[in-house]
Amino acid sequence: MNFQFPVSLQDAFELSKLQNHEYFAGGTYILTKHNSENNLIDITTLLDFSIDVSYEKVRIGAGANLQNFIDCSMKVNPNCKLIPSVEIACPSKNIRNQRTFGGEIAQNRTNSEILTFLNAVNAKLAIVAEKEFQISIRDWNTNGIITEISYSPKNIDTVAVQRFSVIPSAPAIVNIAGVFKNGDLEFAIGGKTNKITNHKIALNNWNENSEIIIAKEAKTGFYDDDFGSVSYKESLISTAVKRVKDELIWKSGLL
Amino acid sequence: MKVIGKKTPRVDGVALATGKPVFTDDVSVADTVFIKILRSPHAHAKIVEIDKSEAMGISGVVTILTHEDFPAHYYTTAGQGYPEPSPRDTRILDSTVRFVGDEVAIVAAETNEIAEKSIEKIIVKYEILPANFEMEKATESSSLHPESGKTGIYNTQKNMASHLEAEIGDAEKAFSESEHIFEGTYSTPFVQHAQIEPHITLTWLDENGRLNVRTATQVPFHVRRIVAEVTNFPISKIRVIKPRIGGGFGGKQEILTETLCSAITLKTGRPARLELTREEEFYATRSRHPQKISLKIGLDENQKITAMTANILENCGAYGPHALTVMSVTAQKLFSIYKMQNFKVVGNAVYTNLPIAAAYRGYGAPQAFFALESLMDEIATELGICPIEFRKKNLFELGDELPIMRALGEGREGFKAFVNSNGLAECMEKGRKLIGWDEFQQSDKNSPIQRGIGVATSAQGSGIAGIDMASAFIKMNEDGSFNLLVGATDLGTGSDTALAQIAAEVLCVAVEKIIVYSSDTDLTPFDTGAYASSTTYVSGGAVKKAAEKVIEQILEQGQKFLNLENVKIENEFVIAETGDKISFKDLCTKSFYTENQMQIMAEASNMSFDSPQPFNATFAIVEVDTETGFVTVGKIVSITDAGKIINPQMSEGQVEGSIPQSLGMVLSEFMTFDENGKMTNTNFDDYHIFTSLDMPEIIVDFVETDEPTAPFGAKAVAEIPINAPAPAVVNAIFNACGVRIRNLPITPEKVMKKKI
Repeated sequence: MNFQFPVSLQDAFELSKLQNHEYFAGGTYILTKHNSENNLIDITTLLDFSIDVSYEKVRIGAGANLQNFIDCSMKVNPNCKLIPSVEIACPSKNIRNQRTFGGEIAQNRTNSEILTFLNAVNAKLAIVAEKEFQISIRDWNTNGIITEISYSPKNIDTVAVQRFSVIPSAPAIVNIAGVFKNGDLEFAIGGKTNKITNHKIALNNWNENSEIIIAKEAKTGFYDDDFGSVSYKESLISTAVKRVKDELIWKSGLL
Repeated sequence: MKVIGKKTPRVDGVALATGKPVFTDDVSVADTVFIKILRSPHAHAKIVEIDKSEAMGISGVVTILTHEDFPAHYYTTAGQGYPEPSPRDTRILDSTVRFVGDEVAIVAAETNEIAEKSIEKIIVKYEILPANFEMEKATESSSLHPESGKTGIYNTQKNMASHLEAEIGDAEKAFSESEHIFEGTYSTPFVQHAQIEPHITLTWLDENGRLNVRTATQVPFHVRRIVAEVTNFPISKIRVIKPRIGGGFGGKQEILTETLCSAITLKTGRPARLELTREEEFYATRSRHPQKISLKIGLDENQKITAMTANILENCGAYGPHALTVMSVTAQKLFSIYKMQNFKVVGNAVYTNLPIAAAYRGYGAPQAFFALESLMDEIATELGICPIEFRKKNLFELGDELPIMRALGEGREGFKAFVNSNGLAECMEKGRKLIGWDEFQQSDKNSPIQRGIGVATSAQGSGIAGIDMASAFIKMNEDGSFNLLVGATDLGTGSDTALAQIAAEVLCVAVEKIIVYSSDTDLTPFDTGAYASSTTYVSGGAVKKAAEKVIEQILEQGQKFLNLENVKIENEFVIAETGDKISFKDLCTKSFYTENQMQIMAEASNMSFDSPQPFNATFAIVEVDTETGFVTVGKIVSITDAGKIINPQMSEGQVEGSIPQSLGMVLSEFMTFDENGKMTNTNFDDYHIFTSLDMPEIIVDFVETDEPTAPFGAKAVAEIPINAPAPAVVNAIFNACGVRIRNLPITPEKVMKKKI
């Protein structure tokens, strides 16, 4: 295993185009996943570690680790709605100290509650690639290096999450984050699936079949496994969407 | 009693808590080579050719061994009493591989990284053979073990590793006369031990050319015997040292890494180290046998059991270590709680091309009690009677013979056994109160979350009757302390402490005066090892006997030194009726240096034709989400009759530690395989063990009984509490939502399908 130490993120991006080159920015546990043929592009020192958690904006440097975020948020804004998702996505404080936000998104762990939350709130990513640009997390195609994650909590009336796992410490079979924003319900659906899907529906258009329709759309990335068939997971998604929607409406005082 | 029954700190507690170098991996030896194993990618194949030239050419590779380097000698990896009741169907590095992960070659190199790199360069040509992954089809599949020279296989052509039958009375006749007949078939999956410390061995030759084996094992003396056999190296030239162990649960009752590591050291003359990865732990070590158990129970008009039959099908995987004995325990335990005059049991253990099953805490009993206690609950529901009262009505009573023990031994003939202590009824009553059985209220029927309550009971043994043997040696020091040398193996359970307590109680000293040294084949006397819940009962018996001999010597020396006949021991003094006294310290010093010189010391061996049963009643409260099928265990109450409790703190720990393992088996833990027989969930992200985040409220308590055949009345506590939580949860789920699941694990989808 060889380490490369680029002097800028732009250089790092160029290196990544070479064969058997991968970014490295996290804890030692990642090393165990790499074989000796790999070249690891160490971008640890190039990343932004800063965290800004105000009532106006949440901005997280891609190099900030999950525990830093919790510690910082608890001091500044303990009501930050991302905190519970971070805690459940990674229950071990020790591991939270190793996992970065940038890595969490770059690895596209679809069963991560952090990702479904950030999808639901439509977080923006700052990316370094051929050029620097901003893009919605929902649209990012994994090209480039994430430098910053941000979203605006003030436009979100309520947030609700729902997860189903065989035991709390196990990754979710289905996890859903939903927000109620400007009269619209938005859901991000993840779990043991190939992709997180996003769904938007105006509350006024909600009817008794809405959760079934959303579940039908979302099930496409799911697959049969020993924890359940796709048809079972479809019904699970449907139940989860309904519960999230009911919670959002209850929280927003519309009931 | 001054020491027995008291919370006593572990004798190894400080060293463990302060991170002292106590484990196998904490020692390094200069010039060590590191071993990695090339494993089969195929479920069944003949090795046609192995080309290791490119791999050997890598700088730093010391040697590569394949089947061509060993004679075709067959043995069993099971660390059991000799002759082993397991089939001798295993060869160190065979020319045929029988499951994905089977061993093909071992590489020794200067570093682990070089060994890994070298493995990738070994070219193996395979001839693929047909593979079978279903135990139901095993007898019709092509033979996995057709080679001559293998012994102890029940039926090679039909892939039957082992077979058992036992019968008392006439079950069929009794069924025909029964008022009620109930039947059910129950199945359990492959489950992994998931102990913290992986299998690890370090071997080296000392200055006298003797092979030293420092290894994480439950059975050091079996390691010595089997390493000697497989490597053809004399027992007298092998020393096995067991340091502290990071959990075994039966998984380290196998000789896995020791033979390979020893072979490398003997071939190269260099120290060798082999540590399995977590991934290898999952698919290449051992697991719990999947079983399918069909039961039929007949009852008379008073709801008393008249007859029971059982048919057991057991999946051994590719080889058969413990195949017969695990199945024997399943069979024994099915008939060990409830009294009946007529029964019959038939069992077959079969080979499949899947990872190997062997000993795992409970040793067949968890499978038995999942089946039996589920069916008992189904009967109580069907008849509309209280499940607790129904069970109590059928229990064995004090003085009853246990006919199954006469009809079926554990791998050899049975012995007559009687119930000399039984606190199960009291366990049920105590648990009933602590769980709030009579006050329990189910949820509003309109709620999607439904609560339920369930109960299950179980029994285990205390060692293997007529087989397990232990010995102990005690010598006195001039400061009044004692060295206790035992072959017994503390694998993290705290047995060194319990044995120290037994010695301290007899010798009338504080536990701190007992210096325990255990499990070193050069220095400690023989012990069959830590399995079958044997240590307190069998090894404890040896310690008690040795201590009693020592105390006799102390009294004799005291009489001589005080020149008085009537003496007694009090507070580390030998005291005469006259008030004259001599301290232990002075007595030993005089014995060493000045008067009637001798070393006060004694040894004793212990074995038993009894294996008294500890009992347990476990209660569970669950919540079932009836819209999704997810089950949450809210509370577990576990009440155990383990005779006299030697160390309450450690006994509670044994119970508390077993509950998550049993809950895992029922709800979240199962090994999964792809269509080629490759295990797919080989990490803790995909294989879900219960963690502290997942645990329900637990209440642990004991009902103390006095077992007359046991040291201080103590029976075993190591395995018994693992048996009943799973069926208690299954029964609670039925109570919550009317869903009865007979095949574990209980996945949410199964609940939903049954509900519909």
